[in-house]
Amino acid sequence: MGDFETRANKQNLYEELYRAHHARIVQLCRLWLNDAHEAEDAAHEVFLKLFRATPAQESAVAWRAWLTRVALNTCRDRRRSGWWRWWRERSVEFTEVPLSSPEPTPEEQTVSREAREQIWQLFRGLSVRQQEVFALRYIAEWSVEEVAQMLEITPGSVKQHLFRAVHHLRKALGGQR
Amino acid sequence: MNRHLPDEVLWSLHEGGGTSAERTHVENCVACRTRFQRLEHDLKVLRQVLREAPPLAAPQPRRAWQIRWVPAVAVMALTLVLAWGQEWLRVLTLPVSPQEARKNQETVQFLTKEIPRALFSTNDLHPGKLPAHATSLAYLQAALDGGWPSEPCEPSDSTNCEPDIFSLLLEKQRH
Repeated sequence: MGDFETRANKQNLYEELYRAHHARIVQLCRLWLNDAHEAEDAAHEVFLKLFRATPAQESAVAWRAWLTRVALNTCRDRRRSGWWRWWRERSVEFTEVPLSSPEPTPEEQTVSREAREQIWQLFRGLSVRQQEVFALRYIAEWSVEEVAQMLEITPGSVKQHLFRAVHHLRKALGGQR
Repeated sequence: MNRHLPDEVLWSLHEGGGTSAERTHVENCVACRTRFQRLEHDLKVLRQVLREAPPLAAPQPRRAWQIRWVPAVAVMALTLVLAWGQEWLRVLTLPVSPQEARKNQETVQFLTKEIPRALFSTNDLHPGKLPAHATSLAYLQAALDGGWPSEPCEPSDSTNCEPDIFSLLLEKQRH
């Protein structure tokens, strides 16, 4: 009976964490991998690891950090693997530009399609460290200190990477001023 | 403060840093305030765009170095093949010295004559007299005994021949 309860608790915890963090993890993976499908796969891998992990930590904050760290490492591993680079370089050549929808969404009304594409292009041009710092600070909404702790660098270094990333990305919005 | 604040300070103020003097300057200086507001707007847009799915990448032309290395590698590979072929032909057409020719001939002779002779030599064979065809009864008895069938020995044969067990039995009965 005790075993059954433990399993049920684990299942409930997993579902709760999935609901709370899945979208955020996919978002981060998308930024670190620059590919929506690859990001879905990576997020799936992260939650598979979560399911396999023994729930030793109970607090939501600890799981948030745990998931982010696992996602970061998963994306790093994927980026490092040779086949991924090869596949990415090949796939870029054969992907097609999607046709723009006749009615722009509210987001598209405020930011032009060209600007959006340029932002993404500039983001891809950032160093891996800058991408990681930017995503954790402005997408995951972590504090500078939390980012520094996660990436095992100093807060000063985080700020430096952030400022450079922002300075670089703002070039895409120069035409809108 | 007469000078306008650099972008880094404005960004630092946005992040909650900066000094009170810098903050006051932004409040009082119209140019810096406008730049600060632009920075905030830009950061909002960047967050918004990067939270969405990335657009599919447009077809990109191959980079110049990617185009150049393919023929370069092909030319290098062709050169290597040609060089190897030339060397191979040179070795084939080299004149053979008389000593080397004699040595080669001896080797060939050894390989064609001595080795088969050694391999298929029948000198060690000592063919004895093969036993006559055994009858079915002998096979049956042999199967029952767990041995090989044998026929009765000829009177003139040596002692190596196995005696017929039936005859031995019959002899026992007679006695």
